[in-house]
Amino acid sequence: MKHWRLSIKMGLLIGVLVLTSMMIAGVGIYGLDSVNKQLVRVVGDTLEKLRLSTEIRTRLLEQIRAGKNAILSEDDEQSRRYKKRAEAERETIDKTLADLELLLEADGEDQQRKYLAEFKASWDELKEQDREMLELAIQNSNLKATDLHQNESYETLKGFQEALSGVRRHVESTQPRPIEATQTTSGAKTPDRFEELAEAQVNILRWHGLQAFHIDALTSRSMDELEGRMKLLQDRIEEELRIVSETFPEAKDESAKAREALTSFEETNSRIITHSRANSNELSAQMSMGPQEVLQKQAGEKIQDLTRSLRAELGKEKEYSDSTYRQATYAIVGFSVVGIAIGLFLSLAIKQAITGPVAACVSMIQTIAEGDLSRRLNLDQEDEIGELAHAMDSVVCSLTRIVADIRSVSGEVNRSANELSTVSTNLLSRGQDVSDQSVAVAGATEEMSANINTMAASAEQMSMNVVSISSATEQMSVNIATISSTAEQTSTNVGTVARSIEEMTKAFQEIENDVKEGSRVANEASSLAQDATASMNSLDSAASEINKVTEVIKTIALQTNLLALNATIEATAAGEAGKGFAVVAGEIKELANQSAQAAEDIASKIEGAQSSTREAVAVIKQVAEIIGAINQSTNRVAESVERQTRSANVISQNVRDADSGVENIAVSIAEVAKGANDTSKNAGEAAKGASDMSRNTGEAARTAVEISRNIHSVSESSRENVESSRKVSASSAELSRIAAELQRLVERFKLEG
Amino acid sequence: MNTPKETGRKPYCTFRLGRRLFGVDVLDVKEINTERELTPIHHAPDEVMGYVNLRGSIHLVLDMRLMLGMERLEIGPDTRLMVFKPSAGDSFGVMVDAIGDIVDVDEDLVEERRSRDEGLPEGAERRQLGADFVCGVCRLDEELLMVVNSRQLLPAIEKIMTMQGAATTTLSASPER
Repeated sequence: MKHWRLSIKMGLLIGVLVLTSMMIAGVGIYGLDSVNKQLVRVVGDTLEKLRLSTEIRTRLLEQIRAGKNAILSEDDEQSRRYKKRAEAERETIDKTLADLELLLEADGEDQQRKYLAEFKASWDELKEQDREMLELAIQNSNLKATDLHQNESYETLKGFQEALSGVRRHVESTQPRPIEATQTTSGAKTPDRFEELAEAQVNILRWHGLQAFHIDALTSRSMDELEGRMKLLQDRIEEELRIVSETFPEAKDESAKAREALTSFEETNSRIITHSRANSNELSAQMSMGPQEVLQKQAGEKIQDLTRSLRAELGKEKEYSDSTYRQATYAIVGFSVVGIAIGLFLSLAIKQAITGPVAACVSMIQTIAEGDLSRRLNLDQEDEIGELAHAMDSVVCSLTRIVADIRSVSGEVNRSANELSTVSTNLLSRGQDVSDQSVAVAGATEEMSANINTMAASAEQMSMNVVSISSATEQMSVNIATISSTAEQTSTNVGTVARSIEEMTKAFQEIENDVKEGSRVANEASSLAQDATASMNSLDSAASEINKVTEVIKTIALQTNLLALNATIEATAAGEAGKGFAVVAGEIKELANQSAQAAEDIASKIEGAQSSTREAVAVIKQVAEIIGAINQSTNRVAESVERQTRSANVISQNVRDADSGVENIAVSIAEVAKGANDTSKNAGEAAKGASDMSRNTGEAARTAVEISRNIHSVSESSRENVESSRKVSASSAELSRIAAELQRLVERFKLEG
Repeated sequence: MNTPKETGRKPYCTFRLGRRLFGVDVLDVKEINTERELTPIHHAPDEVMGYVNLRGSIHLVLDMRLMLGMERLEIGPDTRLMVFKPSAGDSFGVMVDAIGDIVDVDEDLVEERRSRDEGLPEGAERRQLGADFVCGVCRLDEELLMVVNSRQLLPAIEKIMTMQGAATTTLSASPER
């Protein structure tokens, strides 16, 4: 199950669900089919039977009602219509009965069949009686008798009564009321006369009443009795009518009329009796009330029994179909529950197989986001989730590789930065050296300048002394004439000269010393300048080295940039999972750009330092040249001084000679004159040499000033150099910091477990 | 860098050909490197620069400048090789003059480029190929970004070969290992 493809798992799940649905559908179809069969049975047979039996019952009742109506209706026509209707109903019942019998014959319970047979028997009987009853019903004799009794008989009765009244009125009009006397006798007699007449009138009314009784009478015995009483009344009325006609002969017409009415009444009476005798209505009613009703009741009960039995069957079938429906429902619910349970179990298992590894993936991505790249899923699963896990593992592997690359590159950057830092420190110390040396040169030059100035002052003094010698000599020459007078003065002057010359010689000695000092200082300056040049050259080479380092850094920055770009692409391809890494890659790229920028800065600064160095080298070269020139000048000064020393010695010799010659001036005046001339000549030479020296010394002083200025500019350049070196040092420290940060950033990733 | 997951934003890897800025879908890019040692293929059209060996696998390298009707690409310090994933086509890459940043572009801002539109790289009408793979243009803050559908590059080369009648060999297959 673990190694199945996801699609197979899903297929299995779907298969289980489909199987369940199919089982449910099958059970549902089977259950519905049996319910349907049951329904067909109920609707087709039982319900039809029930309908037929109910119809029979209804028709039976209808037929009974029609029969009763036929009996009760007064009109012949109507009665016949009802009869026809009852017959039609009977036929319908027969037909329905045949149908029901057929149905029950085909399929029905014995009890039902028995009920039907019983009903049929009672129905046949009922039918027979009914036919008879209806025959009677349509005769309608009682109603006819009643009709005669109420119309014709009443009319003739009324004619009879009127005829008798006419007799009475006639008698009273023809025999006016007798006077008072006779009133009592005739009055007593008159009521007597009309007594028969009134009796007849009452009797005929009684007869008419008997007629009604006769019509209503049921038994023939009571009819016979009633007919006897009628006969009696007839005889009495005829008797009374005869007496009336005899008593009142004057009213013969009216009497005849009364007789005639009586005759017609009698005739009517005989017709009424005939009808009443027939007595069909009573008979039929009796029949319908008596055995007919029993039969009807019996038939009704039978058919009701049948109906009840059918109803019970219907109930049983309903119960059966209910139970079938319930069974089908239970089966459907059971299969659904089992299917859903299996489906649920399967889906839970599949969900477990998917969510477990996915959760592991999520936790791994979280650890990646925290920088731990050492974790692997190593999921032993071969479905799509397993592929996803493998893909995740390979993404992490490639990330690990990239981070390892970056780490090694950053180590390299750090090493380069450290190297650069060392070099720049070196450079700084060398620049410091140069600066120190140039300061020393400046000091020496200053010293030299001071010495030269001293020398210049000495030369001036010497020049002044020479001039004074010259003037003294001149004065001596001038005063030679007055030598004799001024011999003492001469001796003094010569002493002065000797002192001056001594002084001059001392001054020359001083100058020589100074010149030697100057030469030494110049040599020192020259060697210092050479040192400075060497320092500058090493500075230049160090700068070139730095340039190489910055080139390397630029290359590394470019590589890092590319790596970061690729890392970003990988991270973007990883989608949401690579989001955190994309940020880190962006920062790495930014750092790489900053590194490149810093390297560029360093390169440009080194370029500035190099050009400054080159300038300094040129200046130092110039300084060395000038120092050479100073050396030359100094040498020339030394030469002049030597010459002057020589002249001074000669002068000194001469003066000493003069001093010795003073003793015998007279003797040696000429010699003095010659010596004075010599002295004058030598003094001129000395003056010229002093002038030379002074000029040379001035030149030297000017050169020294120039040197001093140049040395200052060297010092300035050195200071600039030192400044540049300091900047380089600061830049390299910055680079070193960036490299360290890069390394720290990369260190965040844990590569091995 | 920042990859917002709003709808419609898509990261493009940008690069330059001449002074123009182009971009391809980052998801199609496999890697970018500085490899430039190419083995020329003499029977192939000018647009194919040659094969390059990247860690043992051979990729075809295309000159997209020529494909767009520009001057032939000269390899310089900023020249980079952009290698595509198999999703964009079988083992190939293009040489570009310089690589740019990865930018997120709102896809609503990318206008579908109608073929033979103005603003094409100069001379592109000559081939009508640019229309096949330059599929859109997008206005960035400072300039226009031509969106290139990297999946159309190999079909375009094959079209050129068919046009030249030189399609006797399949270039995308690696001939050696």
